[in-house]
Amino acid sequence: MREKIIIGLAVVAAGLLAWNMNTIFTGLPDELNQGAIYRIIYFHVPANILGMLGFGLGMLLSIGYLVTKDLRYDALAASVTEVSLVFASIGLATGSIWARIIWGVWWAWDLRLTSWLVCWLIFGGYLMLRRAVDEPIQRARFAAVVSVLGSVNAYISYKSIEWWNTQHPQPVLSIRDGGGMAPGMEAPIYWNLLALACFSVILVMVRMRQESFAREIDTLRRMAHAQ
Amino acid sequence: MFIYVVLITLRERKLRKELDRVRRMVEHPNK
Repeated sequence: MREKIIIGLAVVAAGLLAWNMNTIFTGLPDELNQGAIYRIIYFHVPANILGMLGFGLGMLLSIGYLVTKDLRYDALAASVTEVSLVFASIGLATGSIWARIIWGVWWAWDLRLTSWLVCWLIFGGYLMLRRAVDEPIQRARFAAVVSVLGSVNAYISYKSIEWWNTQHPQPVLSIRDGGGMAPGMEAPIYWNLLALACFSVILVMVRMRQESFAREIDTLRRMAHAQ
Repeated sequence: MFIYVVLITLRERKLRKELDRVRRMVEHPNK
């Protein structure tokens, strides 16, 4: 059943991405001030949205673990956080490429960029912490606390472009009262978001299967030592 | 993303191999 869901989602994601690429690269005109480089927004924004949502979901799952002490919550939180970190990395990289063309620099120590980089480092630390602690209960508890702290930072980063005047552009999507894009140009962002969301679900499902393999290996090793 | 997919695939292979090895170890402890 799991395999069929993965294949189904992969087909949907690939179809949507192919259709979106066609729309973005052949159907849309260049932006008046930025030229062709504005198209990076179709990857930068969905990747960052998925990163932020994933960190938030990871936090809820971590709280779920702290309340119930059920290690399945911890395994799902770890899988979701790892995949979210990949999307956050794509967001940072694409943003940096855009900044090089538009601002003339790869990086600016602006509040949005810096808070998002700090968030990325916290969740990078989250994954390192998980590798460093062998005892599963202790690992889950430490990781849950880091996830909650990191998600507070993710929320600050999300709101930073509303709370402060940043070099990073203010909200442009109409769902955030931005209204800075023509509807025909905005729609592919949501379609790409859907495609990447399907892809992220596949990655989380694969990571969950790996977590169950790792648990089984651990149990069998304990049995072997007990024999 | 491509790098991550490659890494996750390699990790899957490693875990499957390790699982097989540990299963054999439990089933035939004297081998």
